[in-house]
Amino acid sequence: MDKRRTVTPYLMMLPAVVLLLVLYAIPIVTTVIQSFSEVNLLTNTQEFIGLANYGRTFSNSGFFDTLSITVRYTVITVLFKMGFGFLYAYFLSTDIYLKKPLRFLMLLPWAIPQVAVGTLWNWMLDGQYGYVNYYLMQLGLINEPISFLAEPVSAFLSVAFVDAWVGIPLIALTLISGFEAIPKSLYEAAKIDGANAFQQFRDVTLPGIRNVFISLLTLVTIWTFNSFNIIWVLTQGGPMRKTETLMIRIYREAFSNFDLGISATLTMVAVTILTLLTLVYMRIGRNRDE
Amino acid sequence: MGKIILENISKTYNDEHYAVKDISLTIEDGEFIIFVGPSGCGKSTTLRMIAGLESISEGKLYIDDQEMSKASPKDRDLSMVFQDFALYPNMTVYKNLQYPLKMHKVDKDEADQTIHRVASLLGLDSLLDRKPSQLSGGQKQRVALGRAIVRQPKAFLMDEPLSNLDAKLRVDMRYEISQLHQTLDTTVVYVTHDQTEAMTMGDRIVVMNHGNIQQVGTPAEIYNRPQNLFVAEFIGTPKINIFNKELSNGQVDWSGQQHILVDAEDQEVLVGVRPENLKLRPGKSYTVKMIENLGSEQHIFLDGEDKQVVAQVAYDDDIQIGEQYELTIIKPERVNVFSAESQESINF
Amino acid sequence: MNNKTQKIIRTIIALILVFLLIFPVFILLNSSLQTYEQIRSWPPQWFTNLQWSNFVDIFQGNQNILRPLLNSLYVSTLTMILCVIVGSLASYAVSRFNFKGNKAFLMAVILTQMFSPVILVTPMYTIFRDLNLLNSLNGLVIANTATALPMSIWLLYSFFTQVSKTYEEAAWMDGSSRLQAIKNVVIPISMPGIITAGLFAFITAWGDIVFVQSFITNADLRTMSLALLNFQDLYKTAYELQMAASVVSSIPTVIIFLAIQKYLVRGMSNQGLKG
Repeated sequence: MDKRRTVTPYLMMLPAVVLLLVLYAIPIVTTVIQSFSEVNLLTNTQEFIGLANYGRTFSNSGFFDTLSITVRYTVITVLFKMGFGFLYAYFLSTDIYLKKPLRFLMLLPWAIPQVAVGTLWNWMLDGQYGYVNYYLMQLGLINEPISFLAEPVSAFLSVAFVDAWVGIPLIALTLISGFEAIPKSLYEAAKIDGANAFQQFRDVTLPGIRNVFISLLTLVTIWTFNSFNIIWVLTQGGPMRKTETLMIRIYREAFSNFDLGISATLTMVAVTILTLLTLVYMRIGRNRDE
Repeated sequence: MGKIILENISKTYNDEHYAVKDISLTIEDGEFIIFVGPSGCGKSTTLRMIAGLESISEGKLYIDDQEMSKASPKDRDLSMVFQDFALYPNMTVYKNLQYPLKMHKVDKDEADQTIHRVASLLGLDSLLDRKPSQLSGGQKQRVALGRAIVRQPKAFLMDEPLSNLDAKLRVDMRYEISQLHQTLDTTVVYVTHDQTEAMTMGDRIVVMNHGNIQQVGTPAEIYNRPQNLFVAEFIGTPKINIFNKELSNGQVDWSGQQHILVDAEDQEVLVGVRPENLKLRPGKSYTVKMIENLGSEQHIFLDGEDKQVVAQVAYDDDIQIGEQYELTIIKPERVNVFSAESQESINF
Repeated sequence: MNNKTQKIIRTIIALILVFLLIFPVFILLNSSLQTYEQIRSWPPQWFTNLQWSNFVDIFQGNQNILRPLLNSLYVSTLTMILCVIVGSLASYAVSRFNFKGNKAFLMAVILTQMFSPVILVTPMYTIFRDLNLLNSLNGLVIANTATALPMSIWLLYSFFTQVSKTYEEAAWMDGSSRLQAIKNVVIPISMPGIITAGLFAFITAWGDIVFVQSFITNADLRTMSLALLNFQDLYKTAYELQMAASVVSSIPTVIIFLAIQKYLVRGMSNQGLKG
């Protein structure tokens, strides 16, 4: 029986371990090898070329443009997401009527497949007939329709905004559970001590949500850094590569330029950045447990 | 039938730390035996080893003279009541009671009869269609008991079954479980950290500490003749009073007037006197600090030179805080004397 | 101001906020039910002259979405089943047995969550090409399992650890074998968690763009995502049909969200979930 007890768990884990090894370990190793090789997807040839890919990547000014776009994109989108997420979480966790239906409706942007989201916003942001133009003109904010996805700055902001729109529900949902985890008795104690609504928010709510907020912030940063679908469906990195983040670039190098070597090298850069972010996240998680 | 023999049973984790060390014990058929001790003493581990939920590292377990040390739980023919009741939340009360019968392939009609008999015995008739989440703590407890007794196992194992109930309910259930044991006449192995439960329910008590058995005996034996200081201090509320004394020439001097006779060599000793064995008489040595009036009796907490003492007196004794007294032992023959060095009893 | 007035004011603010957030969804529904001329007219016409025929049209012609819909259902369902079975086995083992490698496994599962499909797709492409898994729905299932499995394991793990071990022990004491206890007690109790994890895997596969557009070139094997992308390219101006197709592709996921709404937070409170 003892013997069976020690073997059973490993047997049960075997399929998962095999799948994760095949689906993660092998691709990672493949990527590392490819980053040191000249690989052509069309001719299907592979040749070891040492650090040449890295040299080419780092000496190319386009690489730093991509990095800069990625950083700006991540920062702006995360700001949108966290800011609005916090706002929605706060109002949907206070004592209101219709709490349950409102919470469900709030989930909708997250529930719609991202291609459909892209299709929808593509149309809404249309330069001729899009409703966004109509309402902005009604509000007197603009005088004539803008081709949102055709101009570098407006395209960049539009994509970031739509990405945030999709991400708000998840963040709000997580923060709501954070708000609700704050014991009611803390608010009652603050009230007895004479705190007004604002002081309760500042002295009870904010400190209570702090840890959840910080670890969520790191997670959202990782997710946003990985963003692909929304950008791809809306702009494919254009116009003039002004929305080409690292993820879009990695994909284009492989599937538009068929240069797997460069794609793999960029992937190594992305993995390095992601590893650092993950370490930060795990560190925060550990501090939280203590 | 349900005779359980534990033979030199030990439990180790990682081959280093002993949770239970070399326990030997025979539990007679039909006996109500209680394992008691502070948390972490190994009592639950011992019960779980009997149940088969924990593997036995060393030693042998016999149930009705059959070795069961390595048998899986389902083959040991025991039933168990858990601390958190562990009622299957996905099943109604009826299904919960039916489950053990189903697993033992009891005929469906026969099972139905048994379930209704047990339900009426425990007053569960009107609850059979409810889910566990719709039951109160006391009702859950009853269903858990019901699930243990629907079939006739060799023994009932109970792991702190009352610790999740409120005080009043605990007293009621104590009575009910004792009644049930008398009716069914099946072996019960019961684990608790509550010495009141142990004293009131058990035929025999096993006091454990640090993975070892400290003493096995009837409640009266355990209370009156603790074999060591740990047992003396663990059993009884308020706690036994311990005095540091000197044994010389076969007697211990008690405040110059009384002497306790002990047949042992001269040594430093610890004298244990139960609160109800102390009487207050006028004097200067002890000052009353606090009085707990329980209605039927009073607990008087007194401060002496270097120690605090508690005495239990009748409720109508007129004693005030701040008054000073001397302590007299009512029955010197009931005093427990322990060797200060070994902490073992030396007067019984 | 008394409490009730305050509550009403807060409710109104929340209503406005939620309305603004889901306003685009109304546009989606509205546009899917209009003619091409209506859709382009300013000011917008709200839910008038409903063109239900749009939903008929997208299932006709050689660009119809019936085949992609069935392909998506196939890929998503299979991914769900694979993730639930493999994930349940592993998370049950990790949550119930104390063995070497336990912690390391969980750590690896968390780490894998930082890899997005884009990072995996290129090396997978070369591997799948050698294994003849390009242009294959089963290949898509495997690729989607890569993204969905760690998340499923994590969700299931957090559910299993919440199921008290004494339920199982009680079942053993009542005479069940280990398997019977799992079948009669553990699985029924964990059902909400298993369903949640499964549906999450389903949604992940349903929303995939990266793998399908890299691996699938055969038009018969397109999934909904790919069909919608192609729709954009082919019928640049037929927005009303694009919208109708988008609505159809959203129906399963919205229903799923409605079903698992109350478990979403619970599963996520333990962190480590993909966005």
